[in-house]
Amino acid sequence: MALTRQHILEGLRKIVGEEQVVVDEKVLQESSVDRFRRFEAYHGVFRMPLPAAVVNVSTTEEVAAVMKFANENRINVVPRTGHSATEGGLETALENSIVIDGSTMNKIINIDTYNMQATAQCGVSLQRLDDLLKEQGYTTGHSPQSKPLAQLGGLVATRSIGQFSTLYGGIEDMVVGLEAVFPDGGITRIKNVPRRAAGPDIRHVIIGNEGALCYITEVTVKIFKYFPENNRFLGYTLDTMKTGFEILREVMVNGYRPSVARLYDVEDGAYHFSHFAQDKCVLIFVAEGAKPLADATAAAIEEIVSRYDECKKVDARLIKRWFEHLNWDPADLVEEKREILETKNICNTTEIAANWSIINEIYEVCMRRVRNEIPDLTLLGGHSSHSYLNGTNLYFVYFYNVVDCKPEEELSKYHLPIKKIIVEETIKAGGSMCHHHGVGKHRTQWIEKEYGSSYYILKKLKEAFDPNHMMNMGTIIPLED
Amino acid sequence: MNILVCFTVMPELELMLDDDWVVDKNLHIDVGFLKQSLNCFDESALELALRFSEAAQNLHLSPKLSALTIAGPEATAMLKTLSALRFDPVVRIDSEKDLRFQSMSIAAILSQYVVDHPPQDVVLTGIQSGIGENAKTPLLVAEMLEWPCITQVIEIEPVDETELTVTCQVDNGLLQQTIQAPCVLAVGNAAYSYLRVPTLKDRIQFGKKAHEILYGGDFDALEEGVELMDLNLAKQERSGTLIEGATPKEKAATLYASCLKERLKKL
Amino acid sequence: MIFKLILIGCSTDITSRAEEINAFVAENLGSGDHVGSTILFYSPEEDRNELLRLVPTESVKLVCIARYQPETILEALQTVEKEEETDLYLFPSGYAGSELAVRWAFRTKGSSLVHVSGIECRQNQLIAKKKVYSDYLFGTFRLNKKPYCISPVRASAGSVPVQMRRHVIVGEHDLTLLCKDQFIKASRWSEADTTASLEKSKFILIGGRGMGNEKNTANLRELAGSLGADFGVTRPAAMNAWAPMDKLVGVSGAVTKPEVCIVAGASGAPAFYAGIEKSKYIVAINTDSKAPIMRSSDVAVVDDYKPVLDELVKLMKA
Repeated sequence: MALTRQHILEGLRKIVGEEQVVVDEKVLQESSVDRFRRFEAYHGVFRMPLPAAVVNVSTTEEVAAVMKFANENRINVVPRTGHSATEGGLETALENSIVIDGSTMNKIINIDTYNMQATAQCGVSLQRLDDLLKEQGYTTGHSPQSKPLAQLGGLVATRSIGQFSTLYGGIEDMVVGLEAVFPDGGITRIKNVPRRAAGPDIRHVIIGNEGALCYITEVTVKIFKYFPENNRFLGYTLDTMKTGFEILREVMVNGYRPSVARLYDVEDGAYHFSHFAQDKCVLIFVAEGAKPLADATAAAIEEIVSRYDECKKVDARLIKRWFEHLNWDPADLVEEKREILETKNICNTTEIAANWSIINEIYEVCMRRVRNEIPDLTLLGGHSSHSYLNGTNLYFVYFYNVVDCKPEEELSKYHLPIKKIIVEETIKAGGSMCHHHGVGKHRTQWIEKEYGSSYYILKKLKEAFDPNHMMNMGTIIPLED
Repeated sequence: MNILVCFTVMPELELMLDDDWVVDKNLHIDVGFLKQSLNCFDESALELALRFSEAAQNLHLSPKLSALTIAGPEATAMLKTLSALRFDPVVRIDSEKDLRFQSMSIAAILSQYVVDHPPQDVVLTGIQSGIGENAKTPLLVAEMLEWPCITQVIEIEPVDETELTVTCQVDNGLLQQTIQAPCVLAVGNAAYSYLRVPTLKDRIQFGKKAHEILYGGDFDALEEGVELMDLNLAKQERSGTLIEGATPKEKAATLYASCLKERLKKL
Repeated sequence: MIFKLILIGCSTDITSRAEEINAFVAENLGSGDHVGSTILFYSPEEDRNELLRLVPTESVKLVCIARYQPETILEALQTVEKEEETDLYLFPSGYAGSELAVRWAFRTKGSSLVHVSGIECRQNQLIAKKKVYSDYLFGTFRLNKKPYCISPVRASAGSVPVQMRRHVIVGEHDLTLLCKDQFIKASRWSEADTTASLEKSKFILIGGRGMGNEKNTANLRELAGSLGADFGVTRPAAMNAWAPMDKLVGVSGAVTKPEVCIVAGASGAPAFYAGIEKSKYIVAINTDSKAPIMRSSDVAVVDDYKPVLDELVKLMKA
């Protein structure tokens, strides 16, 4: 028998004390959604079931106690730290969920510059950690646009990736050891070693679990030496995405690792670079690291690009200026709400990944279909921002006017149909429908197609670690399953 | 009613770093590498004009909106956007002259355009640009045309073919006036700060229409009476000065005496 | 230099305008060979003797007009100043003053500059400084056509109450029949919206996560009241419901520009700082000397905020 809300609150108060159990209605409303539903949320529409409470936890033991309580009583739990998620991962899909907020667990536990590791609790903001490291000449190398807001717990839970990943890797390449709490209240610690072959790499059960399997309480990441003075900036305009993909591939397969390797199509390029790119695609590279490496990388890229006549070089200063303003400026978020409410125009994204041989085809078919099938678009473009030896990602960006429809209809009229086109064409071609934002709650309907026969492994993990179905239900695995 | 919106495009100065503020011997600052966007008051003016037009159509009136800027080719993207939003004509008066602090010349060019392209009933523009901050152009246009001028406009609404209601901020409140065109209106802190976004379809259908380019050289420069002598950085970093003291009480005492007492008195 | 101050009755903020222009004159025209007088516009319903008290110069010209209206005032000035030789016209700060300065300069073939922060009189020119480039820079300008028509930026020199003095009325004009506003068919004035909001606040005390709980937040709010400050909180405090959402300062709440801002127990995350960065003066109190707010404030106190602020209240009351 499900506990009543009152009993849930009583149980929680016994564990963390009254002060840390928040029941204010506005807080609960904001805690029922994330950026996926921001259009309706900005209009004051909150359609998800309100959580029973938001619980602020300050120690791993508290997390364990709350999880155990929730597990025993089969109450849905939503783990949260920075609240910057974009795919609905933080939506409370079930009645009377408990949102466990770890942002007060914000101690930086240790910075070890000999073993090149930094250990911090889940509520440490990436910006704070990175700023502290930079003062000492190091960096995490992790720089997602959400850096000023995002915290370590969520960054690991979503398998996030940053803008310098082509050199530093994604979060999965950066994590050393972890501590996590599982639904039964068990606290597991994975030690910090450089590598091991002692069975499968269990860190990957935790990294990317999106709160569907466990609660991440502590993270150790690698740190890198930081040489910003050696940064080399390269930018080019060119005519086609096809050429751009070829150039990116040449850079990658020949073993070069610029920290930034980005290709923008004409529309997305116009949005960011209209001051130097009119009706052209844009290629941007940044090489960083020790001077010999940065210079060699830059020289190699220049040589590769020079083989393509359509590429015209752009003043490095322009690229440097762009580089200095990569992340979400918190002041822009103030403006965003006002702008959306005034103009009824909103931007959303869908990110995918695929091998070199199919990426351009996916780009072209998605652009054609979205442009033809979706109304009221004001901008449709895309860019590749994370390249690998065997392929790259595509980040589709689309702005639309919300016309003749209530705030709560915006998703079904525009964003979800666009996502459907992109996801289906990508999976059909053999790519992956989720590059780095996570499945959240809105790509779950395609998860079996995404996995094929390997869905077996994913399902078993969920059954094994969350037999009582209380960990962020509706995330990764659809509710119906 | 013919409404002419005069606007200017300017670089996004928030992207400047302290080291970028380099004043050369001609008192120029290189801002060419910055992204351009609409001056905020002009953006409000453009959006107000569009809303005015929608409201007028509901009253079975048919105002015509046109847009005009004095700029080099960097304004092209904005001109295409305005065409897509159905401003017609959209005109660029080409000028590579340094007009940052030359309000008289700008006003002369604008008022000459009005005289040469009748009929114009309302000239709508922002109260000042983000570079010169002269806050003179709309007033001088009004003086040159001998038209009335209302500043700090925050809302305009149609009444009939020749009259409109204008709401403006005055020093001690809000003034709402129903006036007879022609007039010059200078837009201030309007509620609408963002220009709407044209759809891709509108861009394809209307945005490609060529905008007119006139040549600023055809206009005579007027004597300004005001000359720029120097430019210096105004922005100061906060010092983050630490207040010393052995106890909280001591620190509070120093804080109050040296930093807060006078400041709080002034409030 | 022969200068004339323009003061406009017909409005409820004439006192503050007069005090501001009084301070501006003291700071910029205090020394040197300057002869000043005032032209005072007023409407028939007003008490001209009350208004005379606000005139900072000895000689004053009184002009009665039907009501404030720019076109009318300009025409009135043309009438009363017809035979006058004036080097400098100083208009009030604010919307009306800056508008009139520009238009008057045009009509008299002089030169104008508005939102000026300071002036310097030289032989045959006036040097004036004002902010340009979205207030990032100060521009220094030379005005070389007389009369110079200037309007200062608000509170550029602060404000100084006008001292009681004797006045010599050098002219009186009744221009109530002068009417240049035929283009206005209907008119309605309303008082400005005065609902208090943090965005209009001049003195704010903001509490952050360091408050720890709802009780401490309530205590800090009371303390703010004792200091005479408005109260705001950062996001963690609002999200924990220690204070209502309308007290939130930062990206998801109010973007403020107070004269004085005290930040207690908040680290100064960018998302919050965006809500206070336009403050004139920021004081940070935090036990963590490395908190970002400490570097981005004007002064910082490394300590527990409670005893520091308790003492501050005592000192203010003394």
